[in-house]
Amino acid sequence: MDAGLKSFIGERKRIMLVIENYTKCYDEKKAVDDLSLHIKSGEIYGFIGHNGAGKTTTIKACAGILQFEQGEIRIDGISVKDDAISCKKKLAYIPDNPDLYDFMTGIQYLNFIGDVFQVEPTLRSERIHKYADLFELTDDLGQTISAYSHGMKQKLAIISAWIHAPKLIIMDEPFVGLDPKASHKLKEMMREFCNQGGAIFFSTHVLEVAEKLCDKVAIIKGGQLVKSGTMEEVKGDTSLEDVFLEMEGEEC
Amino acid sequence: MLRVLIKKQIFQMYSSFFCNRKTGKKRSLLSTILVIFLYAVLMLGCMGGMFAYMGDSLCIPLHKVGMDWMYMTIFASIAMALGIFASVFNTFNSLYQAKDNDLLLSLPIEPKKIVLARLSGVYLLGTMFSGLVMIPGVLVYGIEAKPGVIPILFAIGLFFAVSLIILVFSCMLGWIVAKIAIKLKNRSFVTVLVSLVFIGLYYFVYFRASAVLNQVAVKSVLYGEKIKGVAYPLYFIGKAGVGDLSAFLVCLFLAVLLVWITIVVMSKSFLAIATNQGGTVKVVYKRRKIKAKTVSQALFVKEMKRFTSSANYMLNCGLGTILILVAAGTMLIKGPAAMVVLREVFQGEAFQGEPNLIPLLMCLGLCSMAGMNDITAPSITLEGKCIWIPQSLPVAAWQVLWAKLKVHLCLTIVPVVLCCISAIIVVQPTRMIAVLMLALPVLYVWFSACFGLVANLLFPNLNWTTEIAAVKQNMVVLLSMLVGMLLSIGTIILYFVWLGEFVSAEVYLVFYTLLLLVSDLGMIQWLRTKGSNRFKKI
Repeated sequence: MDAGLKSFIGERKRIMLVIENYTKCYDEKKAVDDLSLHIKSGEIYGFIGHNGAGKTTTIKACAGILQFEQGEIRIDGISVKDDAISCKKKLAYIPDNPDLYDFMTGIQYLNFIGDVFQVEPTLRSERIHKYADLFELTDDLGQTISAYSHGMKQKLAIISAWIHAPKLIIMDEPFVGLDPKASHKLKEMMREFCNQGGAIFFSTHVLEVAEKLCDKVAIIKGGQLVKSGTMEEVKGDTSLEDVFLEMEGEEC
Repeated sequence: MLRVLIKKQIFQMYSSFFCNRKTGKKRSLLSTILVIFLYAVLMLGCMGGMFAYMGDSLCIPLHKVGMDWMYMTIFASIAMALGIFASVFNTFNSLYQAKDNDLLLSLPIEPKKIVLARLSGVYLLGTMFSGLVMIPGVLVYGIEAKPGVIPILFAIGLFFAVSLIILVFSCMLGWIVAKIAIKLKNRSFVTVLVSLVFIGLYYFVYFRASAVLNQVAVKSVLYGEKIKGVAYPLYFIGKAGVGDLSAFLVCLFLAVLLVWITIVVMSKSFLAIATNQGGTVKVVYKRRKIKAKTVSQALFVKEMKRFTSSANYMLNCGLGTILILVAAGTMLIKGPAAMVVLREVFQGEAFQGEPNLIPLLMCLGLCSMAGMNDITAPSITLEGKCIWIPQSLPVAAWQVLWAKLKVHLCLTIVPVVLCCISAIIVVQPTRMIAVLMLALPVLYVWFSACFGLVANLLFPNLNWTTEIAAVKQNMVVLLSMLVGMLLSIGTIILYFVWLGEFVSAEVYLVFYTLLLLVSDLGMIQWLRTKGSNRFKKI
């Protein structure tokens, strides 16, 4: 088990991500309106909503790459607004499209991320090879990223998120582009990460995955949170798909 | 369909003319016209002026002996050389490496139409460069030789025919580059090497041009006969530009025929080349011991890798490094002999024995070479869709910006200091002047690095489809080069034309050094504060 993760196994159920009254406007239009969520360590928190509902806008603000005026976002107790760098040290972010540095090779990119997060070389090497082997990407690490397929880039982005053993992983549509085997591995990694005390906040359109994988789920519509809680609280006796479609005003 | 594709291509290439990149909003018609007008004035004013001067020295001597055709041959040849040289890499990039090739090929569009649309962009660029030569050339011809309306109309017609010939040669060379590139492993370095050979040839010809043109003006009849004998098509091109209808029609017919053949050949090979992933030889990764770097080292190495991985970036923004190193070596070898001549010219009575004119000239001459490096100017734009990486990493925005500055400074200051030392050895100035000769160019390099970064932070464009658009068709790069020239060559002119009457060269050097120091400190402060905030919000 990674040393970094061992240290906070005892800190389970600590609140890792707090979003309070988060509001983001583009010109006059409110993209997200007064959103509040709490994510504890050990939880996989799914974030679902239709296209343009405000998922990415929320996720980017949590990752510290989108400035916002109203509300508060805290990572492990630290405000993103006040100390974005300390927050970023505790989290890993994977965007919806894995645009990585095409001019680097896979291993160069992973080492770049390792250097920025100051991951000790031996530990870094262990983690790189563990996850690269898991995704069957090891042989391709010497290739430039420009030669990678979408799925390979997504795998590389996932490995780069895991190598610095963050406390919180924020992912935007992480399963897009992955083959079924890689998707399965990612789900296992997510569960293992949270079992060791980490927290995951991710958006997805694959409701079956969310239903099986998530401990909690939040549904966002038109920038507003319409339902959130444990999976049981949100879906009750029906399926997540039924609940989602009902929220969207569709007839099932 | 073709109209839509051409419109898209032109909009992509010149989006800054039609759209405000800062706000993303469409410009008004008046604003678009104004921006295009300013761009044309800048380009024609800077480069066109040089060719107008050349035309002025050639036109009358050739016209007097009835060799007007040779005047047109010379201008058409220069226009072709400049146009082909400037657009060959653009052809390769915009045709075969455009990021939206896959998207367009997936749509129900014939590859031929995609090629035609792409070529319209290449044609426009070639026309722009040939216009820089031909427009001043024709203007000077019209004013000085006064040939009447008909020959001028033929000369304008020749300008468009020349643009077609440029398109043909650009495509041929672009096709050869593409064929070679898909077989190369270290594509960037080979491209840079080949380009450097071309540039070396270009400068060789450029430095000899004045002597050659003088010879042409004096022995025009002799050279005219030689051209007719050895390069008859060039004679024909010249005749076409001065009102010979049959020569013009033949030229136009051949140009159109060549363009048609080019389009047919390129359409047939386009799909194969554009979808070829060659050149990426499979490298199997072997586990090696990892060497850790500090955060600032990691960011610096990343920026350096970006620079060295792109031939376009190196050639368009880093050529000064090589030129300055060549200048440093040349100065040591040829400097003593050149100093004898320079002392005769600048320390004579004409300049009232001003002892520090030569150091002033050398300093600002060196600055003008250092100004050719504008590595920071497209550095934010080049982040493109990867901007999320530095923004999401636990590093301060200033650290990212500083890494970009460091690449520019390292690649420029080291050769500049070497060149300064060479200059000091050759000039042997007083201690005070020696310090200024070292400080001024170094501060100038800081200025150009900071200015490029500030300008790019103010006007970033992350939505580019080809790297060449980010580097070559970037207004910020052009602006940085113009400001660089203004601050080096402009400063020399300012001293000789006006300020030299009031202040000594030494005082001027001190004043300029202090001005650069203050500007540098101001820009660094801006980058650390407002510039960093801007980077976070891009």
